[in-house]
Amino acid sequence: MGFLKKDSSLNEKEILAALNSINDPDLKQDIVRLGSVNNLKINAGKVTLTIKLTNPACPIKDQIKMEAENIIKKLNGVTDVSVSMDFEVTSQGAGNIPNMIPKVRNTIAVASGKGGVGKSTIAANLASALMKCGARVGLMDADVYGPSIPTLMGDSQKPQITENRIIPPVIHNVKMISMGYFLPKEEAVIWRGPMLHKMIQQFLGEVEWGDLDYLVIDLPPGTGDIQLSLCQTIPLTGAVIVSTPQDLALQVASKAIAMFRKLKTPILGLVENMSFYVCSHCGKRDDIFSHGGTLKASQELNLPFLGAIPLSTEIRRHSDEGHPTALTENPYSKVFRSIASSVASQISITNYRASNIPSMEISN
Amino acid sequence: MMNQPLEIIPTSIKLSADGGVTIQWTDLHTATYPYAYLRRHCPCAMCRDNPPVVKTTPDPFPILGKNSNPIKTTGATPVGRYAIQFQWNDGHSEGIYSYAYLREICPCEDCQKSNSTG
Repeated sequence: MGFLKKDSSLNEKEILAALNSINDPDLKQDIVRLGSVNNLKINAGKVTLTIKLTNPACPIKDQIKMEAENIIKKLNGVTDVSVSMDFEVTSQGAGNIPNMIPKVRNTIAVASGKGGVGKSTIAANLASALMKCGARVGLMDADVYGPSIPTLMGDSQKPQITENRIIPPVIHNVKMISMGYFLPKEEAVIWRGPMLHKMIQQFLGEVEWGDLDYLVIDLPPGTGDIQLSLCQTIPLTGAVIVSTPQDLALQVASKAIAMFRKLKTPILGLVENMSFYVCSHCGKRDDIFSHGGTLKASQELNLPFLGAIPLSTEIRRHSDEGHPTALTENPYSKVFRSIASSVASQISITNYRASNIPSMEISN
Repeated sequence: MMNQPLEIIPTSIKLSADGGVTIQWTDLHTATYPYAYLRRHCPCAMCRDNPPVVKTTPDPFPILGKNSNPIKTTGATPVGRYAIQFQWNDGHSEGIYSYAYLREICPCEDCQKSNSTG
């Protein structure tokens, strides 16, 4: 910066002081104190800066940009202003404890109690939607019994195996691994616990995930070996619980919630799938599995409600074609993106809170 | 933001050379677990059925036995977010000590008192 400038009244301090009225929408703290304002430059009255949020899918990104520009414009000596928006996903700060996947910032388990509620569809769309916002995403299919991720995400090459490392295929810009790649379609996995545990460890530790913002993990239904192994092998960032609105499904979902609570895994929220059906002929809406049960359950359990997805022929078709709805442009893709945004927001909040992983010190 | 109740989990776990394992908790409670006490309370199925014989003093005839040293840990590994696994110098390492269990068996005077009366 020059020593004698015409716009000497305008300085960085002044700009930052003005911007501290803007709050981060997830963390509810002002963006200056959070250190979100970066690359602040003043050049003869022209102000440029970058605001870095922790949520790549922030729904009010443009609003924040406009608000910041308007605030700066009003300052004395400003002739021009340009605010660019960026993001940096935070991790949970695992302290000094060694982690099997240190370059993966967040791990999200998609779980349910009951089978057939659409976990895999939601996992595939969650991963796709997060990728679409610019995040680096992986998708791990931990459902060995019914691996459906390869179908949902579309055909790909098989994973490459080089000296103890598995190179995951990349489809729709998402790194993926699934038992489906290692077994012929007509074969089944008939394994006991120790084998399942080994698979989880290999899928996490031996797959070349690289730097990821989010690793989405599609779990089989229930509260069995795979769930327990996963929760023991890595400190999960959190779990997303999927349920249909009917009482039966919700009752079983509460078992999954109880398991994660017992294993001290944060629950990021609940998603209601098959929320309702709109007839494509008459346009009449039908609540096949009842409606709103998941929202009510999330309120009772004091957990965030992440969103509701209707039963739709289109989503089904996209799933079978291997092109997740979240990658398309239609009303349903917006729903998936809004759910992804809520999940990312819950992760930002969880990571911002004091780390709930103890520090360890060994001096013997 | 949802207000969730304070989770009672450790904030720090220290393994010292001879003292034992010192755990500080989110509610600021702190206690040191002597190694022999922890080993005796191993929660694995085998130790529950057949409580282990734990050495606390050095063997007077170290040449006769392999495990001649008083019990202590050789290391520890976290288990997800909910537990810790200790490796012992007697070769055992199977027990998964959940944080809830560790809190339950807290050896400090206050906890022992309230356990015996409750």
